[in-house]
Amino acid sequence: MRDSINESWERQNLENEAKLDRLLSAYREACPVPDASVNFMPHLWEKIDGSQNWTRQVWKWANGMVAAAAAASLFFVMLQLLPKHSPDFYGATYLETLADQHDDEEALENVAMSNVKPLPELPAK
Amino acid sequence: MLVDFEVVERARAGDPAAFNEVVTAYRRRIFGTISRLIGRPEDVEDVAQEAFLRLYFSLDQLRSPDVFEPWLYRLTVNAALDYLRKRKRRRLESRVSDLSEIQVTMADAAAGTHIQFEEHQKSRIRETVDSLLSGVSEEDRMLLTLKEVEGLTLKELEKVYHVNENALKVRLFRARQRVIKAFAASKGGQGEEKKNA
Repeated sequence: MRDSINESWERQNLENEAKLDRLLSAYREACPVPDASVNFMPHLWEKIDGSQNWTRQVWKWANGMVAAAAAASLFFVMLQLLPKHSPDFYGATYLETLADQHDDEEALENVAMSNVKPLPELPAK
Repeated sequence: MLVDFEVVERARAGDPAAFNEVVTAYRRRIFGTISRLIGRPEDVEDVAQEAFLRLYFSLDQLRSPDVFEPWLYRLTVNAALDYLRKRKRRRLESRVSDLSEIQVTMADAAAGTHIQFEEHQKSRIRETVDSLLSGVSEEDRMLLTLKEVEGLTLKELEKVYHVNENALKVRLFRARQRVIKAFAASKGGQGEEKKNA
């Protein structure tokens, strides 16, 4: 009983396989193959050109960015290489700066001397 | 090959006339394949253009002449897959009823004449196969179509998919079994009846 069921099922399966094969080969014939329109090639070339232009634009933009980055790097390197002049303001001490601003030695001396009072005489022992 | 490799070489070097020659030689074959892969005649031209566009930009990657055709098939299959993925938003069932304008027109026009009757039959076959293939993944649908409908050999498929023959056999067998199951079910569950008998 079981064998006959299996046989019948296998036969059915084989029949289905054969029918499917026929259906699939009929499908090949049933699918219409549309003809290419007159504009097929012109449109294709338009798309190719469009893609190339886009690629070119991106390439140009990328090159521009690279050039700008290189120029900026060069600029900063040059900036680093220039000899550094440390400004006097930071290089000198407070007293040196003060002295520089009053470099008229004599005037200073006079001012200093005029303000100095003579020392009182010490009482004789 | 439908063109000499020398023509392909010239196209690769940037000769537009040679590229035109390649496209003209393979256009009809590619149109046929795409038509059977996507099942919508009105979109075949767009998908074919995408395939040839990819061909143009990847020609420089081609190393040997004997892989040109499998490689072109691969580009075609990928373009068709991308197209189908874009359309995947729709439910699978709706694909069966989603007849193209042309199919609807053909079905409506099916009347007395012999030609119209034939067209109607073809339309029914397309509908049936589309509905059966909707039960498998897009990738398996492509594989089955290339093998069973396009008639590519396993060796050729190996070159298209870069997968070994045994793996392809297993995948094909499983996909085919799923389609047969759907086929049996579509015939009114005859298979089930036999099993239950």
